[in-house]
Amino acid sequence: MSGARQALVVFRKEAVDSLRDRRSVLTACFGPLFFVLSLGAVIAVVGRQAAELTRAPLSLPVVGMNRAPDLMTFLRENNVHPHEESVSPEELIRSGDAKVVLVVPEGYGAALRAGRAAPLQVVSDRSHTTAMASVGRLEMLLGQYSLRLGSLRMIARGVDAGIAQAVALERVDLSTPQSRSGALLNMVPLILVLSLFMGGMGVATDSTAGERERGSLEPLLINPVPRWAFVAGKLMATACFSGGAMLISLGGLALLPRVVSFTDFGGVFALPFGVTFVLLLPLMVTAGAMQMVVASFARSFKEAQTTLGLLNLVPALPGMFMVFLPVVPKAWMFVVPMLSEEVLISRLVRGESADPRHLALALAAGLGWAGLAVAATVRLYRSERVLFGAAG
Amino acid sequence: MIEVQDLHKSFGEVAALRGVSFTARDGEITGLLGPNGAGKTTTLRILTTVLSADRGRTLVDGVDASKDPLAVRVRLGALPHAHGLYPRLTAREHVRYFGELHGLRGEELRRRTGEMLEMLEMQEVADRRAEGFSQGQRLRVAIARALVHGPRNVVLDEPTAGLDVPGTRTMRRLIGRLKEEGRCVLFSSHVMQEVTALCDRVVVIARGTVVADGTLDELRQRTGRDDVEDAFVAAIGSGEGLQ
Repeated sequence: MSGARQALVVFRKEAVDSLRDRRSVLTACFGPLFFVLSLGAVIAVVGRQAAELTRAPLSLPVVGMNRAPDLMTFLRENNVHPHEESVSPEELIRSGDAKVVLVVPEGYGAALRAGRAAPLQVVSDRSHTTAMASVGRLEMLLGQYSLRLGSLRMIARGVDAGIAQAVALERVDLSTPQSRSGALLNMVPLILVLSLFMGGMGVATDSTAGERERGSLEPLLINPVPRWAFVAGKLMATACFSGGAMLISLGGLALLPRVVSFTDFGGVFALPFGVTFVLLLPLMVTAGAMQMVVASFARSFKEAQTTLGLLNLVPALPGMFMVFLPVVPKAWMFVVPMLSEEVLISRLVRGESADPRHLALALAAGLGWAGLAVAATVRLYRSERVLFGAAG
Repeated sequence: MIEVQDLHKSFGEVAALRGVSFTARDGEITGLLGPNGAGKTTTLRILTTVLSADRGRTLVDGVDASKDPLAVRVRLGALPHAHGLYPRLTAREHVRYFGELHGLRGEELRRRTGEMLEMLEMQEVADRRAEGFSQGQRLRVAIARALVHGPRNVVLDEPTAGLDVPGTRTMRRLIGRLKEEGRCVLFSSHVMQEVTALCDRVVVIARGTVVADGTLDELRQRTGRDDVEDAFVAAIGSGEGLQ
C-alpha cells in the first residue's frame, strides 16, 4: 500500500468529517460571504455619496437671498437650490438640518455697486467631514462667480482680464477610473487572503489539536502509514476548505459589479479570476501547514482555536496597510508570503498590468514557502512532540 | 511474538523505564501488571512505535521496531491508553477508515468490517455516529478498528478500564478468542483479578523495571505465597496503586 493512497484515505476521512462539522462549514462559507457583502455595502454607500456630491442638486439655505439675485441665478445655473431661511445659520448647522449656509449681509449690494469687494459669509462646521464636500462645492462656485465679476469689471475699465492672472493653472489628472477607487479596492486582496485563512481554520484545528484532545491521535499513528502521508492527507483537506472559502470570496467578488455600481464612484473592477486563483494556490498550502503546526503545538483544542484566530491577523497586516497607505511595489515584496499576493492582486484588481516577472517571482516564492511549511509540518509529525503538544 | 529487550526511556529528568525486558509468546496471553505510573503505558507506546526508546529494542515477529516501524505496525493491532473516536463518524466508518489505512479494499474491506462489528456485538449501532456512544460502545469500536486487519500480535492498554460488567465479560471473551486463534496477546492492567483470571504469563513492572516474570505458578513459588495477589504485592514491594 503506497503512502500516496493512504494520504488519500486520510484526506477523504478528514473531508467527510469536516463537512459534517457545522462550525467548520459555517466559518468557511459565511466568513467570506460576510467580507464580500461588507465590501459591496461600502462600495454602494461610497458610490452613492460620490454621485450625490457631483450630480445631486445642493440644497442651500440662504439668509438675505433677495440681496443677491444675480448670484442666486448663477447658483441655480450650477445645480444649487438656494432657499430663504428664517432660522439663524448657527441654529441650522448645529441642529444638522443644513451642512452649509450662505449669508448675504446687508451691505452686499452697495459694495458690489461701488466696485468694492462684496462681503459673503459661508457658515459651516468644519469638524464634520461629510459637510466638507458641500462647503468645497459652494466655495468653488463662489470663487468662479467672483472671478467672473472681477473680469467683467476689468473689461469695463478697458483692462485685459488676463493681467490679473499671474499663473495659468492646468490640471492634468492621470488617475484612471480604477485607480480613483483604489483605496477601497485594496480590500479585495485582504478579503481573499483572510477567506483563505478562515476557510482552513476549522479543519486544521480539528484534525490536529482536536485529534489529540479526543485521544484519537495515538490510535491513528499506530497504523502502518508514513507520517508524511498523514500530514499530506490532513493538509489536503485543510487546503480544500481554504480553497473553497477563497472561491466563495472570488465568486462573490465576481457578482459584485452586477449588484453595486462601480461607475458611481468612478471605479472599474477588473479582477482576473484565473490568475488570482493560481497566484493564491501555493498560499493555501502554506496557510494550511502553518495552521497545522500552530494547532499541533497548542495544549488544547480551545487554545488552538484562539491562537489560530490571532494567526489570521498576520495576513491581515500587509492588507490593512495597503488599504490606507499607497504601496510602491519593490522586488523584495514578491518573495514575502502574503504580502506578495496582496500587492499583486491589489494591482490586478485595478486593471493595472502586473509585471510577468513579478508574477513568476511571487509564484516561485509561494511554492518555496509552501514546500518549507510542509517540510516543517512533516518534521513535527515525525517527532514525539506531536503526541503531547506543548506540554510534552 | 513480541520481544522487549532492555528498554530505557526518560522524559526530561524523569526516568520512566530503567531496563524493561520480557517476551510475549504466540497463543498466550501475557499480562503486564503494575501500579499506576510504573511504566506500562510507556512500554506499550514504544512497542507500538509512537515513542522511541533511549536504549534497548523491541522486536515484533522478529522485526526491529526502530529499523522498520511500518513493518512492525502492520504486524500489530493495538488499543492504546487513549483511544478516542471521531464523534461525527459512525462505528462502521471508524472500522473502515483503519481497514483502508491497512490497505484493505473492496469486498475484503466490507467483509472484515462487518466481521469485526459482529464479533464485538455492534451490528445494531454500526451506522450510528459515535457522539452518543456509551463508554463500552466506544471501547468496542476502538477495538474493532484496531483488529480489522487481523494482526498476529495484539497489544491492549488497560482494555477493561471503565467498563461495566457485561462490557468486561465481552472483553474477556474476546481476549480468550484471540488466544485460541493462536495470536500473541499482551495487555496491561493494574487490576489483579483480571490478570489472574486471564493470563498465562504475568510480567510485573514497578518503578520502570520488571520485578517478576513468569506463569502464575512460578510467581507463587518464587515469592513463597499461595495467594496470587499476595505474590504480586510481595513482588512489587507494596500494594499501592494496585486493585
